[in-house]
Formats: sequence, structure tokens, C-alpha cells
Amino acid sequence: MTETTDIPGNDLELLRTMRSRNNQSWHAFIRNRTGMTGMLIFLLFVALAILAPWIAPGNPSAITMNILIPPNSHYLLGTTAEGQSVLMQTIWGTRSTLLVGLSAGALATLLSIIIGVGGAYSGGLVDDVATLFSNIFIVIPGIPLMIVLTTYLHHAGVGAMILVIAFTGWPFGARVLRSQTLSLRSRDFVRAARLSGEGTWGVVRRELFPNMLSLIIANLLGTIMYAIGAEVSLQFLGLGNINTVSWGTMLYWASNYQALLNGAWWWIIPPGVCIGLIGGALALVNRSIDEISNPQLAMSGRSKKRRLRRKLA
Amino acid sequence: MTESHDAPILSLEHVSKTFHSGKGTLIHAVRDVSLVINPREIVCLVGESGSGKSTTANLIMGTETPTQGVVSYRGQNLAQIRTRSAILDYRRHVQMIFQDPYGSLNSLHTVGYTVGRPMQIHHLVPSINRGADQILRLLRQVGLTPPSEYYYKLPYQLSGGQRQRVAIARALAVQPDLVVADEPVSMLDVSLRAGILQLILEARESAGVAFLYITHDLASARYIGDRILVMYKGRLCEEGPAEEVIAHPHHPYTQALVEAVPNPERMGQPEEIIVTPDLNETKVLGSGCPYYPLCPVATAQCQDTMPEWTFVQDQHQVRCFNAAPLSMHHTS
Repeated sequence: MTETTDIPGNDLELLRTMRSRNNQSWHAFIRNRTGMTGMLIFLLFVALAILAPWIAPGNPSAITMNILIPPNSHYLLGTTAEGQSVLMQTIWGTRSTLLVGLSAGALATLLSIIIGVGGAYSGGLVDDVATLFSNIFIVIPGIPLMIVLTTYLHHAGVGAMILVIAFTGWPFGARVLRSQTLSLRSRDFVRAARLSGEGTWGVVRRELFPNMLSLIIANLLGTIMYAIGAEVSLQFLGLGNINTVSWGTMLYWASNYQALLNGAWWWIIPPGVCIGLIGGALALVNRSIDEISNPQLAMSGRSKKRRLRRKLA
Repeated sequence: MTESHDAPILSLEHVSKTFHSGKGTLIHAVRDVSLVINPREIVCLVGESGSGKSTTANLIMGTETPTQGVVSYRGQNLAQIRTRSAILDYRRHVQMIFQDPYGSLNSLHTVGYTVGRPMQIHHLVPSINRGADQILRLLRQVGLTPPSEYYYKLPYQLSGGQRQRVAIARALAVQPDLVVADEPVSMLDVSLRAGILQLILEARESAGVAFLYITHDLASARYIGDRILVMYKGRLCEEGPAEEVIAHPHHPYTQALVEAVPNPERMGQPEEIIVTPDLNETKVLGSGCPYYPLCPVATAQCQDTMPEWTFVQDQHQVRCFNAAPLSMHHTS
């Protein structure tokens, strides 16, 4: 840089120019192509869910006489055995799937943080009890437990479905967050922060959480994917409310009417592709967040080579 | 001990710390340690790993509480500092530098934040941004120039030496009276060590900071220390002015340490090899001198009784029954 003098004002001025060069992680995310691709796909589904009444007005469950029509110019994705538009059902189905997926995922992650991080940071008996709980829940197989619970709740509504999925989805994340907290808690920089006078909440918020953010977000995205999968599975098994429209109930009815035997591939593929797309989108976002939260990783691999090539060119 | 009229900043009086190992045995990490640190003084605590140096640091920082004895800061017993504001006040005056500069900085915080945050906690600046000029001055003081270049750097963009300078700046940010430096140069390249030690000396000169410099390296202790305390297996065994202890070590353990330092003047002479057998912990934890099993001049008395302090010089004292200047044991 430029030559420095001993006038502190000069340093301050230089600092101001440096500040503008200092990139916020948000900008880094926007510039990250992987993450933006995933985010765009995900936002597309969110937009579909919100705008369903305007994009596909009408009742998606409305029964017509046009039974099992293959895709054509009128029914872009064909119709079901009850004459409903598959396109309309797919669009409206996004709503229930996303609602359950996002809320159950967020709720499960919150439980993981409270039980995992809280237990590990408190230590002692609290940690022992928290670990015991997560261990018990880890060995209970999730899907059968969900089936039992939803059967018990009898054609569970959306709220019950969210609770059941969150209830079975937290223990793995809690274990991961616990071990990360344990490893961070004893690190020198945490000790240093404490010795410089940072309080407990300050240490958690300013030292631990930023270091755990990528793990928490990865966990959140993973749990959302799990929740979407669980919701679809439960609906597919007919354990939810089969009269609502969701990707799971679409598959349930398709299987009930033996869509595959009837050659009605257009009834099965759209919800399947959508589930896959959302899963892929979340995975892409996850990867980019990993890169951003770990500055060293961002400079490794392809992006580094690309930057190097640009520099040489 | 030095000719300072001020009261000591920190004192340990007969401090012991015992840990319980998992199997029910007791580990005496620190035993009956008494020491004082005066204003502007650099005291070196020298000892091998496992001698209780780091436990002593933790006792001073208040992250461990002594099993016996009293640690006091300016006459106030640390065990009685309980309220949040009193603890903050103590943190404001006694700071620490860690051994590993790769672990002691949060990899997600910029240099400016790392240095500025303690200032903000202790209300020395209204906010990190508004304290920028003070942070820059401090960065310049620890040799990170031009400071504006470093302000927004993240730890991974810095070398080990630069990181340790940031860690020192963080410790000095709150204008402490005393800094406990736990082996601050042992993880750095030899070429960088002198620079860091020089910083410690400068901080003492310009800001009047006292240091407890913990090390296993006698050479660096002689370089910066006013006084040297030698520690072995949790006990202090020799204490005195730095030059004096190195030039005329009296305790057999100190003598072994001094002889282990490579010395060009002794080149060519056959070296006395000190064998350190792997000692069973319980064997050395009796009531006697911990160095007894290895000591070349040990007598039966040493096995049962821990010797008291005896002065061998003005200000130079040793805990050994058979203490004698180095030349007398040196048979070669």
C-alpha cells in the first residue's frame, strides 16, 4: 500500500478505503454461483406455493370427466384418474409440502440447538440428561414411530404432522451440535474471550455461534429435506389427511389407482421431480454456505483456480 | 524482591492445587507455591512440561481455584471476587497471552474486532468502529504496520508471528497491570522469537506492564526476565535474579537445566547426559523433594523431608539441603 506516516488520521483514512473493500458474507453468497442456483430453484418453489391461487386458479381437487389424459396443450401435465389437472395439483401441492417441511425442519433444528448446544455448554448433569435423551431418540427408528404417532392422532392435520416430524427429527442434529460445542468450548479463543471479560451469552453469541453457523444451517437444510421426505412418506402411506392436495397425497392416489399399471407416468413423475429438485436446491445452498463460512475453503478448489487464471490472463 | 516501593500486584501464598484423576488418585499439580509479582517486573516461571506452570497460570487467571493457599491481586483474595463487576475489573487488569496463536484467535473475527472487542467490553471505547484510531495505534505498537492493512485481515491471512502480535495487542488493549504469557514464543519460528520478546520488553517500558513469562526455555528467560523461578513437579525449587540464577544455579535441577542449554563455550567438552527415567507419579509424590529420584547429590533426608528455602545470596534462594554452586558438582 502507500507509505505510512505517524499521523493516526492517515491510518483512519486508509481504513475507510479498506472498509469498502471488506466483503460482507451476504455479498459473498450472492456472488457464489452454486449457492445462487440452489437458492433460485428453492425460491421458485416458494413463489409457486405463495402464488398458487393466481398461477393456477380454481380447485385442484375438482373432479372432471377427462380421466387419465396424457399431457396435451390443454392439460400440460395430463390428468389423474379422477380427471384433476396434474399441473394444478403439483402447484398447489407445493404449499402443504413446503409448509410442513420448513416448519418441521425449523422446529427440529431449534430442538437440536437447545438440547445439543445448551447441554454441552452447561455440562455436568444437564449434559448427561440431554445426551441420554438424544441417544434414546436416535435408536428409535423415525419412520415407524411417526407412523404410530400419526395413526394415533388419526388422519393428522398439518399442525400435528409438523409436531410429529419435528419430534422425531431432532436427535441426530443435537448430537452433531453437541460435539461441535464441546470441541469449541475448550478452544483457546473461547478461553481468551472469557478472560477478556466476555459474559456467557456473549461467548455463545459472538464466539460459538458464528463458528457453528454453517453447521446449524447445514443441519437446518438437512432437517428440512428430512421433513419433506417424511411428510411425503406419511402422506403416501395415507396417514395424513388424504383429501388435502400435496405431493405425497398425489403419489398416494396415483398408487391407489395403479397409475403405473395404467401407464399414467405423467401422474407420478411431476411430484417426484419436484421433491428431487427441492432436495438438490437445498444441497447446493448448503455447499455454498459451507464455502462462505469457512474462508479457507472458498479459496480452495475450482474457485481458486479460476481466480488464478483470471489473474494470469 | 526488586527495589520497588510499590506493593506487589499479585501474590501467591502457599498455593496448592490438587486434581482428582478418574481412578481416584490425586494429582498434585501445584504444591506450596509462593510468589510475588511487582509492578513493571518480568518474572519468569521456568520448568519442564507437567511441572505445573500452566496450572499456576490458570490459578492466577481465576479459571482454577486453589485447593489451599491464597492468590491475591493487590491484597484482595481472588476467591472473594464474586460479583460480575468485580470479575470484570480483575479481567481489566490481568490479561493473558496464550501459547498457540493458531488456536487463540477466532478464525471468523477480523484483527480489528479481536483487538477492539476487549476495549468495548471494558468501556474504553464506545464501539469498535469509533475506537478504530486506538486499535490502529495499538496495532502499530505491536509492529503490525501499516495498521490499516491488518485491520480487516482474518487470522488465516496472517503468519504465526503476526497472529501472536495480534494476541499481544488484544492483551494490551485494556491497559492491564499484569499479563500472564504462557509460552508465547514456543510455537513460533526461532527467527521470530526475539521480535515477540522485544515487544514484551517494550510493553513494560512504555506502559509499565508487569509480566509473568512462563517458559521451558532458560535462554529466553534470561533474555527478558528480571527474576527467574524454577519449578519442578509442582514445587518451586529455586528463585533469584535472572542473571544470577543462570550464572550460579544452586539447585541440582536448575543446574541440569542450565547444562542442557547449548553453550558454545563448552563445545568440545564431553557432555554430561541427564537421563530422565519415566517415573511413576506416586513415587515422586511423597513428602520429600520431588527431584530426589533423579538428584545426583540426594541423601536419605531428601526422600522424606521437603527442604525449606535457604538464601544462598541476597535475593537468591533455593530449596535444597545440599545446594552448592554448579562447579562443585561438575565433575568433568
